[in-house]
Amino acid sequence: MSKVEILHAGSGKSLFTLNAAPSTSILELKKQVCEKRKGLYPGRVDLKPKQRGKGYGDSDTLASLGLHAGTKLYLKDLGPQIGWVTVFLAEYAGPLVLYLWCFTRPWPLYDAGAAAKPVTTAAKVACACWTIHYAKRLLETLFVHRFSHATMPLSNLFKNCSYYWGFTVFVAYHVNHPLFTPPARPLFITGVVLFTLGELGNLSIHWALRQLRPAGSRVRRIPQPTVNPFTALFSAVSCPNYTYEFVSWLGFTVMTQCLPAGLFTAAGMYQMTVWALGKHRNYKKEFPEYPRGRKAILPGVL
Amino acid sequence: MEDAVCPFVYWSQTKTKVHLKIDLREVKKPDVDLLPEQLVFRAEGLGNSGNQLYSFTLDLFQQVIPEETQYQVSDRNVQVTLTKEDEEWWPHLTRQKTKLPWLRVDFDRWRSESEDEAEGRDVMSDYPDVYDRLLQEETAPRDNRLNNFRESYLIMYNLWQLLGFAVILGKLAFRYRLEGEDSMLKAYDTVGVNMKLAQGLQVLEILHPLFGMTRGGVLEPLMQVTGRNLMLFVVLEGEPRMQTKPAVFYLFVVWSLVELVRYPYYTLRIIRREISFVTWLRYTIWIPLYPLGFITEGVLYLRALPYFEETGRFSLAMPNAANMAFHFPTVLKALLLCAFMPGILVVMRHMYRQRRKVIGPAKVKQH
Repeated sequence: MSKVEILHAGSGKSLFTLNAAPSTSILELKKQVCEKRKGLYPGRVDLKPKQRGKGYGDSDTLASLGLHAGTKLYLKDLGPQIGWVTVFLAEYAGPLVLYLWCFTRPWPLYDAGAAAKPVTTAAKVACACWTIHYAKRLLETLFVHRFSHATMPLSNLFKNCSYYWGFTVFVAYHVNHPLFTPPARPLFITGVVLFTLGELGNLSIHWALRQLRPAGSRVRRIPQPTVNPFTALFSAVSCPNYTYEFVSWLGFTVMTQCLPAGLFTAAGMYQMTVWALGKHRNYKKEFPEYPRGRKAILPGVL
Repeated sequence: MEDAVCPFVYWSQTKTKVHLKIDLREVKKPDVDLLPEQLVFRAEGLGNSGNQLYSFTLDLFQQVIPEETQYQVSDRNVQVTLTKEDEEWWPHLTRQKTKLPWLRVDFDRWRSESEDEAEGRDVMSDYPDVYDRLLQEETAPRDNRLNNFRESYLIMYNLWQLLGFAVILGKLAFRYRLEGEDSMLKAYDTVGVNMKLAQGLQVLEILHPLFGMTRGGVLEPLMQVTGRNLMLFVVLEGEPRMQTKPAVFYLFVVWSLVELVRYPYYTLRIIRREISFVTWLRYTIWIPLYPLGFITEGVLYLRALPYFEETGRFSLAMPNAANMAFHFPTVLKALLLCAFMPGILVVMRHMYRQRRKVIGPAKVKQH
């Protein structure tokens, strides 16, 4: 049995030592940590080799990581955790429900009598599109996506829900307003077409990514185009799902000609670009043979 | 026997030794305890906090040979020399790379080391990067010429702003002497232009940390400048009836008093001097002035709301081409609730923490 010294990642102070064998896994060490520190559970414990940086995976063993007797590990409490899937469901159910509620022109948001006024075709179609988008997201969360992580910090729930639910009301209020003016027919049709292409493309990419990773595994492979023509975008960008998502929201903005929708599109695009750049960098680091011509999110540009 | 304070300690090193110069006078018998990886020092003497017990503990970067430790007490300081276990360069003195406010690099000793060093080698030529990096971390960034430009520019900016706010206070005081309380209704008329100029220019203070010209975050200046400019350029400028409210007089006075302390403090920081009274003012005057400012601004915002409901200024009604409605009074109310009120708590907590770090907690007198 060898000793593993556990230090506090924040202060660097030595906390306690654990007993371990070369075959002991990180998860077992985490369970030992939880016995020494009440209130912790393995899901919120991070054990890492340096004060800053990523922690080791649960399934790794001391032997597989090349750690010997007397090694030191830093302990970080990641805070209360919540299931990844739980957060996604809350994030997407909100916009679905809230937009439909706004569509009825309820009294907290609009004057009395607003509900009786006529509703433009554009507003009805926009409502259908929004609903389809978030229903699709909910179904994907339940049946399509394979997640790399089980949990995330609880504070993310409040942050993410504020973003999605807040923007939903911001956009829905304006599109469903009695004084909403729809764009000219050609623009409207363009918007609907863009939205449809974006949704189909996004779904195609999610499906292809699912096929890439077998059930129950955490394997990572380079995505490549498949039979589905929408997946051809893989040849041009690392994250075509984000590209198609942007196309969807661009379509929505065009079909409603609504500035709040445009702001929502811009905000989403900004965040997705940040994510795409990170993913692109990771792909290139992980696969030396990663195709050179591919960009992160915008073909030929970024 | 606790409540000891840390003295200023200056450290330098050679390949084989670590030197500590402890800034304490009139020390009789210091306690210097060495474990291979830790130094504990205790002594009664005269230091930056007066005549009292001083002590510090250092977790050393690598092991030293305790038996070969030497120390020397002189009139002006206590010098401790540690012998390293391994002849290696230490990137920092302590095991953790934490910044201790009382521990500094002894640059004078470091530089002269290369001249009269018994080992006969120019330490700096071996490790020029380390010296430069330490100098950088101790003082300010970049290459010397650029640094001089940065410092000159910042000094000029701070002094210019100081002048601006001094003029504002001066004009307000002068007019008050002449016209008495009546002048309080005319503050905007008296110094409105000066204030707009000075506050407008403060936008630069967001760019300074953004471009690495000063340390500190971007968020604090962003919050202060946005808050003040919203009041000045939108609420006051956008409604003439607000400009004759007496609260504006108080607002301008409070803002100016805060700046009259802040800019000199920053200037002293840049030229690396300290006047303890200015430091004390900087970290104390917020205690009465921030709440006063908060109340005054709150009063003005609340009084402005009905005017903006009436005039519809800064509001956008539907229908319009962007399909967006913007009701300024509602947005202002939301901002007051979600940004202004939590903001004052955040800002005051931040200043309180800064005060504790710089001035220290309330000292308990030792009997």
